[in-house]
Amino acid sequence: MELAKEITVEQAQGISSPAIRSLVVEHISQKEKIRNGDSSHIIYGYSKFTHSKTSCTCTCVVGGLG
Amino acid sequence: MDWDKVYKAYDGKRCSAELDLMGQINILSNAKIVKTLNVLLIGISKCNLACNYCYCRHEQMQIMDVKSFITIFNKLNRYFASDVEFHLVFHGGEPLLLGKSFYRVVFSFLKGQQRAFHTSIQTNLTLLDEEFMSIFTANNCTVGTSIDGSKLMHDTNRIYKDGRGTYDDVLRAVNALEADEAPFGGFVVTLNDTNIASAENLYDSLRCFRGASIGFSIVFKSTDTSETILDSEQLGGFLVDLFDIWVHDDSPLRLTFFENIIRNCLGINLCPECTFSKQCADNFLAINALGDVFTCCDFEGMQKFSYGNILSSDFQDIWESPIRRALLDRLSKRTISQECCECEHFDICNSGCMAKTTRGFSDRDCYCFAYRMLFSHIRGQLPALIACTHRISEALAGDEMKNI
Repeated sequence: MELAKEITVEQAQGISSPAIRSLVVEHISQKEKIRNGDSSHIIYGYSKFTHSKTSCTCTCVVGGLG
Repeated sequence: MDWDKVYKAYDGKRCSAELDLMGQINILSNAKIVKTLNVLLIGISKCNLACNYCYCRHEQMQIMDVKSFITIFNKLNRYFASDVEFHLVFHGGEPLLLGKSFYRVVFSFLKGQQRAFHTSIQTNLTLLDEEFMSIFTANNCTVGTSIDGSKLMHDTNRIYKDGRGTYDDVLRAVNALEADEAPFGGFVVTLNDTNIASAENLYDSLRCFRGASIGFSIVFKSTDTSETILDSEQLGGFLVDLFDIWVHDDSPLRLTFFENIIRNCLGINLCPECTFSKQCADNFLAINALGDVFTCCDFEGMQKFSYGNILSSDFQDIWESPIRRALLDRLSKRTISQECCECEHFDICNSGCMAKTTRGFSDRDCYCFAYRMLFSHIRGQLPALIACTHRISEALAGDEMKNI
């Protein structure tokens, strides 16, 4: 089952855990952006790094202690 | 899931796809599939700190020069398709020790390239000054750093060579980056004996970084004669406690470790957590100053895990090396341990991280017990945490949610 595909943002707002609610809402919003033609979301392959053209939240965890 | 097939099938049609929990491909139109290759450049083996848990194995200093960097970039550029985006991560050692002129020349070279790329640097920040900041900001290079919790937690392990703690200097640099509105990538917290003593204390100490991405790196160091690992039962208990705090927090921290596990559980994204990904070897390369190539920094310095040397070899030989093939085959050909094959959490864990075993790729991650504790706890909690709308409740009652 793909949870976020089956519910709307409004429904997702009912999820009790703020952390999980935020993840689901973010996912639904990203899907909408992709459907609307925004290709800036990396959805192929695995990455520690989730970034778009306008913002970046990468954390260089991979194998490193910084 | 053969992403290469998906990619080839839909390439050029400006559509994208994602994988749902049932293994089906959802094609989302009007967007382009983007493949990212994460290249971790271990440009220098030297560090100005002497962190107690550091895994660095080098006795002699190794430094990547600009010429080597350009050779590496050109070889990767020729080998990979033009629509593969490179994410170049400057790592170390301490990458700021490479000096400002290195980065000026490198960024100048990169500006002339057609390849889509993004750069970031993982630094301890103690050497950051305004000139470095302006170089990174001008080139949109994202800066990430490490913090281990409170000043006491941090300064217990992350110290200068004279024993002084680095917390105050790191915080000063973080504030300067924030004031300068520099692209900031967030924090890595190295979980170690000190900061896993209390989940509540660690979480509270990180509250001041709310809004920033916070990842975990679990301490692990292996040499020919010894290993440094945490007690798995203690780590598991800590992760369970921390999850409970995070998941009920009204204003939660951005703990990517938990976020990615939840994504895996709900099937709402491909798992971006390399530890639990299906094929880390497909998207990551670590290259040290001498040009030796590994899957990631955790393998660096252990020559038996090297794919080969990119400066002296054809890159195709490196990309098709037996070591990389063995990593890829772990899941595709089930060369993993029997325990992993039979594990109820395999769909979340994907057999863990192979840098954290010293007995070959058929062994389990040394923190398997801790992860099993956490996954069992999350699976038990998750239905109640998300079952708040009528539709979700209905779904929870159905077979479709059997994986949760």
